[in-house]
Amino acid sequence: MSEAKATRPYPLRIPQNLIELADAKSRAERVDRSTALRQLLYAGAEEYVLELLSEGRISTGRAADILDVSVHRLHELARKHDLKLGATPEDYHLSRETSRKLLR
Amino acid sequence: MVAKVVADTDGLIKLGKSGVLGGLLSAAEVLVPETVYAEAVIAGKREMYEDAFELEKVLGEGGAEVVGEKEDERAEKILEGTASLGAGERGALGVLFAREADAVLTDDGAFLNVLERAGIRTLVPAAAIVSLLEYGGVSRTEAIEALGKIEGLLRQEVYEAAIEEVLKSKKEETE
Repeated sequence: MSEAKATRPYPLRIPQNLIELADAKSRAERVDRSTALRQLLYAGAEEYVLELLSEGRISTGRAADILDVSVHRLHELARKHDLKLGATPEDYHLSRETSRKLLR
Repeated sequence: MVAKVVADTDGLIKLGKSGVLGGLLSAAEVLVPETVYAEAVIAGKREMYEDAFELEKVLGEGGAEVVGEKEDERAEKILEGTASLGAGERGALGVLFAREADAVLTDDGAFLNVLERAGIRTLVPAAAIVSLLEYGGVSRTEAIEALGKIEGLLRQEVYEAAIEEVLKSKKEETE
């Protein structure tokens, strides 16, 4: 995670029900409608990125970069979603062979 | 000869959290790419994660080397067309070749796939803890506690396989 990510305008038609949801969020959290919409977009992005991560399609570093959070925060998010990430039993056994040779 | 291990961010944070990173630092030469240090320590401290402060202390006291990254043709070839990795993992691969290290400490599924496909040796935190027990770098109690501290960050089958090995080792000693 470094400086704030660049943004760019993008034309998008948003369903009326989501506009209403954003307005409700905007009123409840005292933020403007655009901020509320971005927060909803991020919530969806977070879920999808965690799914990619748990499937091993992207790494922790890449996931943290996409979501603009630290790897520490990403570990927290994974725990919150009860996602078990990391090495498979096969990776573990391969690694045990390696470590037996290296650490002696 | 002492083994040379390059850490990526995920592996470093998990082994740090387990509390036995100091054991690995005594048993091997641990290289930390600058990007990995920035992700694990600097970014973590900025967000006030206690683990990041502890990591900084253990790495400093244990003599880990923070290494500047250089492009390496072999790493570039492996990374060609790979969009699944972040800067820390890419940095770790570059340092692995540049410093002719023996293995990469990581627990990241996508990175492990890339490394294993390329025939690069890996060290996952759970295996490192069990091997440190065999090496004499940590006690059995410390190994069990270390695995417990990171249980929530490991796949359940991996946690159970590691605990089983630790307990088996205890049983063998008792017998």
